Order: sequence, then C-alpha cells, then structure tokens
Amino acid sequence: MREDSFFDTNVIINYASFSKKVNLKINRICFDYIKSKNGKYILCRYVEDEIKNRIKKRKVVHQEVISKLKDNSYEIGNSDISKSLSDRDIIYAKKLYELYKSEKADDISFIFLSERAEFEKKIEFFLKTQVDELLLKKEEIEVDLIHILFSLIDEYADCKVLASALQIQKDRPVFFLVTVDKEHFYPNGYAFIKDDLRLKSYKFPELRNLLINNI
Amino acid sequence: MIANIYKSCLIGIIMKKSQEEIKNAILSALEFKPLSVQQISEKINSNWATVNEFLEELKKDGKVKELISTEKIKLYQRITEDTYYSIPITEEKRKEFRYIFSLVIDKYKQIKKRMPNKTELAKVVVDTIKIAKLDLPTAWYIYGQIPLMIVDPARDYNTDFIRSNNEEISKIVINIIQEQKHSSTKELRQEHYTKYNNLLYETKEKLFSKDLNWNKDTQKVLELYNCFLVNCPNNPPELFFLTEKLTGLVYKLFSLGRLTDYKIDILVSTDCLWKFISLNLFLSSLIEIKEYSNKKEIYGFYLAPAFEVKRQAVEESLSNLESIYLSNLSDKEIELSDKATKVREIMSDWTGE
Repeated sequence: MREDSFFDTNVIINYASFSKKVNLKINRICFDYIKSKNGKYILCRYVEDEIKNRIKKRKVVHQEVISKLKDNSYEIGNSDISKSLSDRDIIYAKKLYELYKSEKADDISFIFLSERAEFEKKIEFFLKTQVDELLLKKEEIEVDLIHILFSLIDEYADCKVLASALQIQKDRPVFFLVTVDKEHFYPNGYAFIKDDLRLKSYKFPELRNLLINNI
Repeated sequence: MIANIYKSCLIGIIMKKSQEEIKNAILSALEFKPLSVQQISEKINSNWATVNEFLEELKKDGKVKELISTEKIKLYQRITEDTYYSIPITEEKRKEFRYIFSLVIDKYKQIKKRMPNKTELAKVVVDTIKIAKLDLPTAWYIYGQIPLMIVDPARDYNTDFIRSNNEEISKIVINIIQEQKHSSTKELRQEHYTKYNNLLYETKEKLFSKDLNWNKDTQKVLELYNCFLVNCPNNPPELFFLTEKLTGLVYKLFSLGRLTDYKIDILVSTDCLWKFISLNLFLSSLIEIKEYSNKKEIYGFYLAPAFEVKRQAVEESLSNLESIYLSNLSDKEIELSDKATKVREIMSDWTGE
C-alpha cells in the first residue's frame, strides 16, 4: 500500500547527518526511512526554508571555531554572524574547538568544508530527486490556524509545520506526518491537539514519529 | 556715451566676478560632503534663491550633480572626477597628491629610464605615504592599496607646491623605486601584498594566476579556495556567506569530478565576488581615516549604487554556478575522511533547532 509522507525539518537534518562510520541510531532511522521510499514525499515551503536556515547555521558553527583558531582571544558566539546561533549551537562550536584547538585554522576549515559538503549534498539530492511535491508558501499559512495551534503548542515553528500539514491534508487521502519530535508531535500530545474543538473541521495526517514507530 | 559704455562694462566685470565667487564658494562648501540648498546658503551666507540658481548653472557645467532629489529636499554633490567614487578630498590634499605623483614620475624616469605604469605609480605613492607618514588618504581596493586620488601616468601633475621636507620625501621615493625588483605588474602586486602581510590578497592573486594548473593541481585549487574562505572578513556577515557559498560549490563540483569542466564559471563567480569583497575592504579601510569615519555618509552618498551593482553581480553568478552544480548532482557519495568523521561524530545529534 502506498504511504505518502509529509516531513518535519528534523527528519531531513537527521537523514543528512547519517554516516555509516558514526551510525547514530536516530540518524540511521531517518536515513533508512527516506531511502525506503514507498509513496509520495511532500514538503512544505516553510520546512524547506527551515532546512536552508539550519544549513546556514551549521556553517556559522564551524566558522566560529575557525575564528577562535585564528585568534585565541576571540570568544565563540561574539561575532555578528553568530547572532543566529542558540546556546546549544555554541556548545557544539566549543566542543569542536576543544577537539582541534592545537591545529591550524586552514587545515580544520578544509575538514569542515568536506564534512559540510557531504551533509549538504545529501539534502540537495533529496530536494532535487526525492521530493514529489513542494507546497504552500509561507504567506499562505492561515494565520488564524497558527493562532489556535499556538494556544496548544508553545513552539511557533511546530505550529507552522502542523498548520501547513493540515492545510495540505485538506483535499487528499491521509498521509503521514513524519517527525522525530520529542514533545508536541508525540502520540499523547498529538491526540490532545486533535481533540481540540476549534480544529474539528480539519482532517489530521496520521502521526509517524520515528522515535516510536521505528521502521 | 563712452563713459556709459565703460560704466556698464565695469559693472558687468564686477557682476561676473561676483558670480564666479559665489560659484566657487558653493564648490568649496561641497568639498567635504553633499549638502542641501539650505545648508549651502547658510554656509556661504547667500540667500536660498541665489544658491539654487547657481547650482542649476553648476549642474549644467557638469560641476555638481543632484544626489537626492525629492519634493522636500535636494542634495547636491560636487563632481570630483579625480578620486575613486567621487569621494571628496580638500584642495590642499589634491595639491599634495599632485606633488607626490609628479615627484614619483620624475624619479621613476630618472632611475628606470621609463614612465611608470599605473600600478607602479600607485604602489610607490602608497609606500611613500606610509613611510613618510603623510596625511593623505589611501584605501585597499581590487589590486591592493591605492591613493584615494586616481593615478594616471599620462596626466601632467606639474605643480608649484613643494613640501618643506621635499629632500627627505625624494630620498624615500628613490629608495622605494630602487627596491622594486618586479618583472611584471603581477609580481609587483604580489610584492605589495606580501609587504603589507595581506594573505587574502595573496590568495586571490594565486587563484587568478595562469600558473595554477586546474587539471593537475586540483588539490591546490581546493586549498586556495579554502584559504580564501579562512582569510575572508566575516563582517558584514554577507561576505562570509557569499564566500562560503562559492567555496562550498567548488568543493562539491570537485566531489562530482566536474571541477575543471566549470573552471571558467567558477572564475567568473570568483571575480564578481572579489569585486564585491574589495569594495567592502575599500569602505572599511577608508572609514579608519578621520575625515571619512562616518560610514553611513560615505556609504550612502558615494558607494551605495556600486555596492548594489556588485552585490547583484555576485549573487547572479553564484546562482548560475549553483544551477550548474544542481544539474550535475548525482547520488555519488562523498567519502568522509577520518578527521571529517570526527566532526560528524560531534555534529551527529545537532539539529540546529
């Protein structure tokens, strides 16, 4: 039976992070899911933009390490380009710096460059060849729907992803909302959202949280 | 009758002189930065209508131009054809520049028995300004440091102005000319970048060098682009993102085995990017000079259109290169080296949320 999938951002990021040599479970699960395509792959424009933002952030995480390697007095997270980084991102930059602090900036930059190229290429290949439908511009997401969802989900980005999924789901057979979210798109949380009376007119995608429904 | 004619001629001469005086006063007022009619009239103690009338004449003569023209305000800028981007310099500095240009050309002819070319003249002038600590503006641009007043060896820079320490300056100029050992302009540029310890410019020169064999030295090409990225300024952030985009595309085309096939497209993008980067460097080095420290004014009055054109050019060329890459994209895997795997290990649970 054909199973169409609508993807949340983190599934794609985990898919691209997969490497046989590292083999982190969540990376492998996402990689395997995407590779074993059995139906249409649907992406909304909001998720596409989010993926591009994350790619950009990853470059900045690496660049912060390079800036510190070039100038030891530089404090990671203090540059104009690093304004987009969260505290969590900065922790990753610091971990990388600790690993390479005795090496030359040029050498490490080259290693980062190759690592990013592998990561980005997987995403670019996915977007070019795997995604069947790229739908709903950001400005087409219903503001009222986002407001309702925001009263149930305290994460604005998740509201936009779900709002997009609900709008796309409207006139088509039920597809899977594929996610690795640990909070809102977990069975109990998702059921709670579905039960809200204000959302009764919406057809909900079926939740497929890869953290639970391992394939 | 004759007396009357004489009288009217005399009035005419006086009137004309006074008109010239007003025009010169307007031009002097505009020496430092663009001003509105109101600001000029306050500066030269003349009424608004008079200033407005003479500005129209100066505009027709090609000596000023309207920089901003709205219903509420008109800003006039003096046209200075002898400086980069018409950035103003005072008459005093103009005289000093002419003096240095003339001195360098003279000494060059005496020592090398030929005229210097544009690059040679510019580099000797810059070195002289730096060594003699002269208060004349210089800035980094496409081919290294340049005097803000455009050098042109074909022009006559003879001037009556002579500095009190002329002898000392002459000795400095002679030394600099004698030290120049280059056999080509390219070599001179490299000497200049090394002298001022500018790795970014050195790398740029190597990237555009005809000696770089893209077929045999693929690894060298990648290393140079990586070095270019490492040494590129991060501020403003768009410089980093544009340079990273180019470097990433170069690496990805290499991983697809298509690097040399698209050498020309890559070099076109690199050239567009370099022009944009060097304009940023021009601005950032200029605003370190006291008279030009108001970044907003220098950018807004003189450089904004150039920035726009160059930004558009680099964005278009990178977009073209990205299309080339995407059209060649295959599922061929990029092998992670052991060191890159270490990076991946740390980044494996990073999602960037």
